[in-house]
Amino acid sequence: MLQFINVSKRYANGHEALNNVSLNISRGELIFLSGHSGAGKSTLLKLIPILERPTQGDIILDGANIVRMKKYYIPLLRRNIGMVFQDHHLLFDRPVINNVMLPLEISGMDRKECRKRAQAALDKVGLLNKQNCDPITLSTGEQQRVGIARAVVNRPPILLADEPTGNLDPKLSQEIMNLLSQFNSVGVTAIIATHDIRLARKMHRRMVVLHQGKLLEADIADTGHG
Amino acid sequence: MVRLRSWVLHHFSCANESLIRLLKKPLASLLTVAMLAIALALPGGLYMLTQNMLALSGHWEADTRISLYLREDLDEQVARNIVANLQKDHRITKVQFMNRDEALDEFRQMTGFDEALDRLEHNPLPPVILLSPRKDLTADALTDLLQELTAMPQVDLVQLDLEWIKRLQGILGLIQRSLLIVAGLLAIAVVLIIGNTIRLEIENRRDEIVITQLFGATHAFIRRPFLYDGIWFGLLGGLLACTLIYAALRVLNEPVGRLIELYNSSFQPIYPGPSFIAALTLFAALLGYLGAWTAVSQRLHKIEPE
Repeated sequence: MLQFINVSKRYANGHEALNNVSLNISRGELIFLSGHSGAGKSTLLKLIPILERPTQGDIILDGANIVRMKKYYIPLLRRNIGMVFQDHHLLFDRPVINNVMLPLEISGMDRKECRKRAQAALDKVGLLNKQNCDPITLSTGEQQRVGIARAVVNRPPILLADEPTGNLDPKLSQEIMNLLSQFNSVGVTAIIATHDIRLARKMHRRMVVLHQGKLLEADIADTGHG
Repeated sequence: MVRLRSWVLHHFSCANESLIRLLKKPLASLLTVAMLAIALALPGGLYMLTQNMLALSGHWEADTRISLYLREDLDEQVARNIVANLQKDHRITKVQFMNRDEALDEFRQMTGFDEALDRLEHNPLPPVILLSPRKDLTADALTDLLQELTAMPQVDLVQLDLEWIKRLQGILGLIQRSLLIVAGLLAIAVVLIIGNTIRLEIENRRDEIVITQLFGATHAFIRRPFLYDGIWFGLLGGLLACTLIYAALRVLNEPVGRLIELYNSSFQPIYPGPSFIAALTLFAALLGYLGAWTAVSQRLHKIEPE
């Protein structure tokens, strides 16, 4: 469903973040993107919702090349992609439930329906009882779970997570990974960037490693996929 | 249909949330609204003032008087004959004759130059006939009448008390023209004030903008709440401006009334009516929309998620 073909990304300052990367991700797959920080994991993720555009190569999503997608269509593309960030990006000026409702409101859904679905999403991450809290009062792990609820609330076919466990202790990290793989098990294609190779291995899924912008052989040993 | 409904609902909730946001920061909002109100009240108030002056000059135009200064050496009987003839003229409603002594008396009363006049060896004033032309006389008919009067051999000078009104109207024309310039400049000021306020608001809500962009918000969606901010600022500024104008006219009412009384005229001042209030407020709202739109358009493409 998602195909990177000879993709390179060179930033204006000359830094080559990605070098001739080719990668195939099938529908419903959960794939770990690993490597040291600065290896190009974030850059690769950013190319999918067109937060960055590659300097070379093609990215085929559902049969369409998104590399030259017109600016006008980008919002519609992003509505089909759920994103989880390391620093969760929650808005502290509104309660938890309103944070989760945001993607639905953006897609123009009725307020009542938004609230219902947001509550369902919060329920799935186990935070329905915190729906009216201010996000600032939640623990880091809870904030990350709210971020995940927000990412999946509009049931996007693709879920991207950039270092979702970066700020969490091992136990919480494991919880977050389990949560993400739960969503994957109901059909969401998930791409998770993490430098925590040990944790990724434990999940027994396909893992690819980026090193200085180049894609190394997949870590076949622990591939539980396929 | 569902999309249209949700679009309309989003507009409603944006307008609503925008107003709540303004009210949550009462001091900052009040300062902005006050600035806008002053900028709007200046041209609006000037406009009301010229409207009042126009009405006032129209009022006086209605009692136009013609003074017919007769030749100094004219026999009083001849003058009385002229008066009798003029009284028959259908274009004239009122004729009043003042012989030289009466003219001198009136002059004495009006000026108080008693001693100076006493020292004169002879009365320098000519006999005068005061005429009131019919009020519905057209300007052309009035000019004809004036020409006929001027052509009479016994008449030395014809003076129409309209000159100063023409001058006043000339001045009013000038004020109205300057009003356009002032209004134009202050309209720009309003756009800039609102633009600046909205720019600050955009900076304050940068995170929110970035996050909504990440989740696929269109520019229209992001722009909408700010546009409503601008509209609300405009509306509130316009309403406050109307209040200021009303208050200013109220303050001016008494001294102006006294002044007008001196001219033996009665005059009801014109206050801002519903159409004026609606026009000013809507115009201000439009300026607010414009200011917000320029601010958001200018800022938005600089805010991109990373």
